[in-house]
Amino acid sequence: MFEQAYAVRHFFAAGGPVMWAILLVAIALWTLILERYWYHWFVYPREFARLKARWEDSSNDALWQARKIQAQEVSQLRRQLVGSVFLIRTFITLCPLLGLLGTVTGMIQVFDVLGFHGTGNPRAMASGVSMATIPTMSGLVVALSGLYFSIDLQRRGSAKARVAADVLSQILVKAGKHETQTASQ
Amino acid sequence: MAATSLQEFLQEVQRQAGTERRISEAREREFAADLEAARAQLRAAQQELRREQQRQSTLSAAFDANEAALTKLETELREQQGGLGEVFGVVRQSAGDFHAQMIGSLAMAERPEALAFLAELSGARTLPGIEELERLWLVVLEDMVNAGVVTKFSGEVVGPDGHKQTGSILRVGAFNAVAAGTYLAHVEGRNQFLELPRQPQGRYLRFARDLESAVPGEVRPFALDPSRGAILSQLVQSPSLLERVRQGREIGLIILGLGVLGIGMFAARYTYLQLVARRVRAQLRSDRADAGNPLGRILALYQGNRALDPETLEVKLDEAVLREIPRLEWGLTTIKILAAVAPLLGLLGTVVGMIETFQSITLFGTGDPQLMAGGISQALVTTALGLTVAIPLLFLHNVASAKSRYLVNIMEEQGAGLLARHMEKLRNDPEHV
Repeated sequence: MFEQAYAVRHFFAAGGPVMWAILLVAIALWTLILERYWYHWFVYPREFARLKARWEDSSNDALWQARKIQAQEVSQLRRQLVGSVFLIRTFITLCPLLGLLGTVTGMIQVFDVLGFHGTGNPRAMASGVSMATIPTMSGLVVALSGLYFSIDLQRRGSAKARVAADVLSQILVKAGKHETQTASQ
Repeated sequence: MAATSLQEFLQEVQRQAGTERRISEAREREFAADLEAARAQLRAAQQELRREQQRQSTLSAAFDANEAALTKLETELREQQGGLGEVFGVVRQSAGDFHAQMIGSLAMAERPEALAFLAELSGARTLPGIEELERLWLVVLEDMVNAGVVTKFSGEVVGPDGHKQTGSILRVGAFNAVAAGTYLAHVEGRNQFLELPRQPQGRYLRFARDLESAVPGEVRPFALDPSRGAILSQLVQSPSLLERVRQGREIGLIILGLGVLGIGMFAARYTYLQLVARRVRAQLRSDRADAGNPLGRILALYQGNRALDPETLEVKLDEAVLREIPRLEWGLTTIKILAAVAPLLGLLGTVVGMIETFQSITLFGTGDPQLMAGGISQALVTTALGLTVAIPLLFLHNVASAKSRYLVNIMEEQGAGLLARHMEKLRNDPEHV
């Protein structure tokens, strides 16, 4: 246990201070992604069912108003569905940039050592080189790990919003038809 | 009268001439006596000289005889010393070697008397005795043993401000010394401990504090500098954050200025958007249209044009929403541009730094890395600054634009919906208006 903790700490120490920023972004990114999936799987179905039930029960007389109210509700739903995907994408863009920042700080370290020891001591430069490479790798790993899910969530969100708009307008049309039928009778 | 006085004058002169003659005769006699005394002195001195010359000749004869005897004795001694002469040479040499080695060794820091003994032994002209030989052996063994133990001893620590303080110093083998959770540098020769002005990261200092408070026999982790302080002294050399930023020169300052500008703009925009959002939320709850927020203005437009049919009203509404959007989105593009410009400026700094580096290579060749350091550090520092400015600005731009998009979304898509609800409510409750 101690050895594993030590290995992690050593990894972070070798990567330099940028690693903590990358860790922070990774945690934020994955919290948001998990929150989104939780919403998709558990919260959204209930919300949508409630909305559908309300529209099936309600009787509207003006079609224009009903359409507008539906559009509002669908847009609210869409906002909830794809809300933080925007932020997820931002974090994915930030990760390689943070990696690049780590590379540059690592290079600064390497050149410091060069200025101090000259080129004769490649072993002394190793810490700077690991500071340059580890954040780049970590940044890319974090970005790539989130990339698929960000696209999937975006797709899922817009698809669900589209389906919701479709279903609600169907209900409206059915209710409208029913209304017109009762009016003609 | 005149004749008598002349006569008297003559007698007087004659008398006086007689007296003078007597005086000079007396002086001549005196001189003769003096001469005689001087001659006697000379004779005595010559006699003394002869005596001393005799003594010198006897003494030099004795010296020569002694010299011969000494040479004889020395040859005798050398013969009798045999192999031991070599041994004493080796003792002196190794005492000198150990002294040179231990003058910088932490292991002997608490035993200055051993160091003094080694210095004395290596410089001594006399033959070392049995006790001294044994002590040399013991001192060397002691150093070996001391290099492998962790001990506490009392010593003087000089702080970074030059203030001296006597306290307990913890020594880890021959490698590091810590006092009160700070790493110390050992001054060679003076046997003095300096507190390093720049200390390693906090968790390493915590190790040091832990070790100091540990009971004997307990195993604790400790960050050791196996180079006996060379790595720690390099730490002092590495520039601080401010010095680093200064290495970026003008371009670095421009990037930082842009960063401050961007963050300031974000703060101003975000506060404004937050204010608008709060008012819009209040508007969503209330029935009265308030002209102080965008949604209220749209609702007011509806209330002013209630007689129009829904389609015309919608067109008017869209127009009103379009009028509101620029006020909500103003400044966000600037933040985005700043976030994009910062890395480009960093790249510019890199190129300027590299130009400088190559100029110095053209002038001085690649022999001295120090001459190239200025350009290279500018190149790297500006890139790093560009990224450190761009990353938060990009994030903040996204935060602010999400906020503004949320508000625009309310105007665009929900404005009409709210209007519809409003109309419905009015129809169900006509006497309310």
